[in-house]
Amino acid sequence: MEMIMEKVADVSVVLLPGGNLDASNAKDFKRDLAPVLAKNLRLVFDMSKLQFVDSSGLAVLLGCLRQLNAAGGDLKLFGMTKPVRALFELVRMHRIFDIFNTREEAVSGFVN
Amino acid sequence: MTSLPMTITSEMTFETVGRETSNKRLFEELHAVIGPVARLLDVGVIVSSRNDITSAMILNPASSISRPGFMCLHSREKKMTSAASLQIGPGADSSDHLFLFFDEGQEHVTGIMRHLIDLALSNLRLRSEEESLLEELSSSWESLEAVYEISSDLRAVKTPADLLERIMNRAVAIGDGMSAALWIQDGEDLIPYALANVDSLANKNSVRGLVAKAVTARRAIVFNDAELLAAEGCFDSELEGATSLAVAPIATGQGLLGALEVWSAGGNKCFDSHTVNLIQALALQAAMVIENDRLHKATIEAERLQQEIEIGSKIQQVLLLGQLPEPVPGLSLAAYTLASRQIDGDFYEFFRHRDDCIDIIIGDVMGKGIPAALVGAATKSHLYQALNRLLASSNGSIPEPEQIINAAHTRVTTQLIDCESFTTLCLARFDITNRHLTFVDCGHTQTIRYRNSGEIEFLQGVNMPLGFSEKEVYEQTTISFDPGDVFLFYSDGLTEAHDHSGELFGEERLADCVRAHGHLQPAQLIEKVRAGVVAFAASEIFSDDLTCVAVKIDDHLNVLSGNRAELVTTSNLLELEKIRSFVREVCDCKIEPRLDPAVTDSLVLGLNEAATNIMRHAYAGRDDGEIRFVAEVSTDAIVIRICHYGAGFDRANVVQPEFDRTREGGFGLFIIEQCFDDVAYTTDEQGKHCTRLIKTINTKE
Repeated sequence: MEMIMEKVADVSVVLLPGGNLDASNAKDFKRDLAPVLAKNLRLVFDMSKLQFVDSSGLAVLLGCLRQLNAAGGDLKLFGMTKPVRALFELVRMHRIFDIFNTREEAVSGFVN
Repeated sequence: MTSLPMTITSEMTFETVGRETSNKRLFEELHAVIGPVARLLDVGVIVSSRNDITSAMILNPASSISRPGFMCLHSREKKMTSAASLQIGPGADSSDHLFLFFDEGQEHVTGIMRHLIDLALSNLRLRSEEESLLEELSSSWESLEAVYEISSDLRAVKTPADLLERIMNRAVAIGDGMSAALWIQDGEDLIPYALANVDSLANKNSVRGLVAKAVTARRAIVFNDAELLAAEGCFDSELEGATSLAVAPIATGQGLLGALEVWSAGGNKCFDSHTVNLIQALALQAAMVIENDRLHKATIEAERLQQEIEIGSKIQQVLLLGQLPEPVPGLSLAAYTLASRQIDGDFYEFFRHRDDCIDIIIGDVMGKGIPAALVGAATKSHLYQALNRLLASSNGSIPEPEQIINAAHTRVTTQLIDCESFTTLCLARFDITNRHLTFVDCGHTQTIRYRNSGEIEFLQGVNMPLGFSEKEVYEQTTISFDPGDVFLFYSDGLTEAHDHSGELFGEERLADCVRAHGHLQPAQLIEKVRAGVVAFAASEIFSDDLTCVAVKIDDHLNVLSGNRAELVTTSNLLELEKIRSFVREVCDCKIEPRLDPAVTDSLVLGLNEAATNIMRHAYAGRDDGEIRFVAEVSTDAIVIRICHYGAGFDRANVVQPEFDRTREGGFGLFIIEQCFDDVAYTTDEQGKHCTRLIKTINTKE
């Protein structure tokens, strides 16, 4: 699936596809994100369409964060649905990721 | 042959005095050719430009060199006993002679000299040809300069109009009183594309006249005779009174046809080969300018189209293709669109009314591009508004599908008729509790129903597309469905996909595909359909969007009875969605009062992780292993058993994951243990492994 992306200054906001991100599609998801990661250092993921994420999906997101950090970039997340937020908190990933409520907050998270 | 006493006293160098140029050239040539031979053969040679052999002979050779008309090519201090005279040049009247002086017995030198003279003459002829060519070339230099100047203009940033003006000005600068017109063929006509020294010209027929002739014959036409031109040029109005004319045709690889016409109205300006060449070069450059301009415009147009495609596909993704709804217990669904090169007005949407009631809308707008996408978006919006209005006026009871369509119809049809478009669509409502499918079909493709038995059925309604008639009244049809039934909604892009011979994929092939794969989960079924169409068409690029939505009524709808529910799946990861809806359904339907949604979410997550581990590790990626899920709800707990025949598992071998960013995996087990209060792994004697998950609940609150 093609990622819908928008640029706000040098920050790229990617609308993650709707539905589920689980073991069945995490690989495809990772592959689809690869070109986005290759071209952008400052990324914001709009998670609002994701109803469900499991540990495989989380691993892909963590991989994105690591890849961006290694390249000197960063990843911010916003718009998490409740179940997704619950997963992040369960495995304490809310401490690893910068998570925001709104898109504006996430984008301005890059300013500092 | 006369014997002559002759003494030439000094070794002479070539010299000419007071000779006219043509002879000078002749003598130069004779000297170059004959001199070395004469020296070799020890022969004296004197050239005379007049038949003045007497004076040549009586001359003191020493002084002969300074005398006009004579030239000594070779001499030596020796008495020659014999002499001969050879005429230079053809014709009896040639006054140029070559006198030879040689010793007796050397008579054969006259033959040799005869050859050498002929050779010199032929050299001379060749040289003068070469010179006239050089001369021509040097006069072409001016033309070359003009051509070069315009070429550099072409590279500079100038508008095509500027460049053409410059070319035309160059054309009329060939001589005084010149006019020029650049004609470009457009269909049956030749259009005056650029003019110089002439105010305006009408289009001319591309069949008659001298310009037309040059265009058709693709060769230059030149008239330097005013009378002849008056007779031949009577079809070209601008040539009235013209005294000379040159027309250079244009024909390019890109199909540009035309001609550059230059004519003189006064004086006796003639078009020679130089000026015609220049006009041809200018015509070629004009062709380049026009062609570049056209290419440029075509590029801009292509970019604009590409932009439209991008905007359109964004509209399609954002406005036309709905997000999958939250899970509806008892059914699973998947939607897919394979976008075509152009934008289509395909759309789908889901209205999830209750946990057991969902509307699926799939539509297709006639036409393509952004207009179709916008009409699709507008239609969706009208349906949504109609639903909301009806909900508001009915105190929240869900309006019937036909009510929704009829309410939207009255508003959308006027608009559709105005923009000469129409929309086919199908609104299908699944009522899980009553096991009813109610649909309104507005001229859309026939929905395919697959029964668990493998039977296929086409569902078709009775109505016309939206936008056909304001008077149309839309009616719904209701049928019952059974567990395991599959419904496939699709756009005609799917059935009208064709192979290279033009044969359509068609409903029958689609039905066969559904029959063969109806037992699969919706996403897998859609993938099979997609692969089927792609294989049939031998292409992944289609002229229409392929859109389809598949709905499967869960198999386990039947086993969900009492406080026990059961689900059997394969070890294919695509079953995860079904497994999640299974546990959600158990939580939603079997536990009273309802669990906190966050608790349900965590049980869904935990079971998902447990199932993923079995698929990935116990079955090691095999996707045909069997996994059985049994859920039992008691007053204080929900117990889920997951049984399989894959590899066993020893919890003790797995360590706690790292909660920093160093690892990307290993969270599965941790999550399972966080989501359930008790997790146990057992294996029975038959090799069946079982994971038991227990969540304590408090149903008394």
